[in-house]
Amino acid sequence: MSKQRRFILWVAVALLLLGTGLGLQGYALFQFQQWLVLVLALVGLHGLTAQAGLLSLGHGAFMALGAYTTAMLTHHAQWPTPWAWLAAALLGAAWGAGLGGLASRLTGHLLALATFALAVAVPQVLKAPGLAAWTGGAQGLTWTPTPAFWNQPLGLTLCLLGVVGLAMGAQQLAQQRVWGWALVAMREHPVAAAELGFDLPRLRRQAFAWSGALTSLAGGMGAMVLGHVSPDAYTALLSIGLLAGLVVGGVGQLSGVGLGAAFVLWVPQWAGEFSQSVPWAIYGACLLGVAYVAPEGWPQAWRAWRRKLTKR
Amino acid sequence: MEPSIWLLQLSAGVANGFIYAALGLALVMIHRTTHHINFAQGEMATLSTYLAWQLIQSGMPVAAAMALTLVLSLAMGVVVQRVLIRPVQHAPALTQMMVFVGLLVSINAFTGWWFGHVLQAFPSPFPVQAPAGLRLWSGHQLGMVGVTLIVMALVWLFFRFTRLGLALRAAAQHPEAARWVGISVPWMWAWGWGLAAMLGALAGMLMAPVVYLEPNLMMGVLLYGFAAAVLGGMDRPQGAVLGGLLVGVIDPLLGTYVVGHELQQPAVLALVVAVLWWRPQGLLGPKAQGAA
Repeated sequence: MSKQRRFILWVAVALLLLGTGLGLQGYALFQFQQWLVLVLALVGLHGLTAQAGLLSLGHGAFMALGAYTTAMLTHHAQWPTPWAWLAAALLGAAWGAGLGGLASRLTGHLLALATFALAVAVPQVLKAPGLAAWTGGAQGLTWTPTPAFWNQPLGLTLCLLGVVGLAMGAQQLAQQRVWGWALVAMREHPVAAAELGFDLPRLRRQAFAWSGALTSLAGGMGAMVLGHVSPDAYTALLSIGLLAGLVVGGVGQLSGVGLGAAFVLWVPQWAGEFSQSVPWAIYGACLLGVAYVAPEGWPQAWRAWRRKLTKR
Repeated sequence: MEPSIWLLQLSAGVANGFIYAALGLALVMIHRTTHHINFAQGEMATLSTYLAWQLIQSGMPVAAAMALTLVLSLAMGVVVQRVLIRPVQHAPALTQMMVFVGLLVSINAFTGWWFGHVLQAFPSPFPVQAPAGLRLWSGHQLGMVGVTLIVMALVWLFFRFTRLGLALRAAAQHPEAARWVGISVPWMWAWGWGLAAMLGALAGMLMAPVVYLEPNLMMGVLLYGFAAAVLGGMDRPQGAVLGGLLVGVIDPLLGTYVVGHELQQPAVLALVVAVLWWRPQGLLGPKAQGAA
């Protein structure tokens, strides 16, 4: 695809999403907003896990951080929502930079298991009675936002569309520049990347900070969409679901996050009606299936299949 | 004289620590050979425990059911490695993690669907009371400690004195050289998985009588087993045992005296991360060559 046609395609998709956001109402709009939130979260996970190869199984914790930051600042401290979002993104970046330091000590699967431990610990911390005055304990927090523009359904949708667009644009640009190449080099061959003069511990911190900021912001915006935060929304299942969404959307493509977010949003809703085991089973089957069929993303898998078929 | 509460907690912690050590050893066994972390280790252990429970329900004596389960778990580990893990043996880390996590989630869903989410009582093969002089432990706790110690000794003897054990060590330390002397390295990996599954099953069957049997039985134990393994230095079997005991002892003490039971698990995990910050190679690991 030429650069020009790609640009036209992106603009068309952006206009389509804008039209959808303006056209929908009620529950459909609510679902669309939730989808945008998950797209933003997955853009964050994509940059870290697919691009930089730093495995995170704890991105639900970032969403919880952002959600609770936003909830507490708007509810207890009466901050205007955009400032609360900014605080959520900055906290996410700071927390991410810290984890990035850990990533230089625990590599590969060890890092994934450590972040998974974090994802398991977060709901327990949020439920702790000692913090209940701020977090609302097991019930969480419910509040009525001020009638400001960005708290109305329309304003919230526009904010979400703008942030998602900016995040995807920035991610796309970063991937085409030295920083993005450095991350790929670090993923594919850390020793060679270090020889080329890249400061790997710093790259890890940066990648984690960027990813953490996006996913935490997604959590914060999600809290405003729901008007409610509760510890049980941010269990390990969410973190595993985010990974499954990333994988189902296709590991190599940023555009796959749209499909992935739809997967994370609707599979638990639909499958949860049958039994509590069914969403887990679907996540598991998808993770295993994609790992063997399309480990490098759908276009690569499609090309490999076509090559096999034309050979005969 | 009645033993004081903290002494009882300490002894219970040591007993639980041996279980974390067993699961940590299982993780170390796989990490040493292939640098994989088997996320599904805990869920495989839960499945094994349900298998033993089913056998006991059908009338088999408890000890026999446990022995049979250990053998079946060995087979399960070998089959899982040969069928599911071998195709991604050299794949990127993300692909491998997809398989491990997929396995974790799938097995968890399977046990939940097949056996239900109802809590089941799991019988202990040991007498209720410990012999006099060891009353700090219940009979089951003493059994836990004894059996785990015996199995660890057996594992050590196996690696030290049998041909298969030697071949396994060779395949782990120097796969290329092992291949030159005629060892089938991929099969050694499969045996490693089998042994790990067996250790996991042991941990599961000893844990189930302490708490109730349910599909998420080993999720917390997996995290503590992982904590034990990294605390000791991921590639050190002795380290996993030391780490397991430390985690086992620190866990109830932190819960009772420092942070409260609600924050017990997060506090233990945070402590482990703090130790890793200070000593990335673990307590018994070799001097770090600097993680690049």
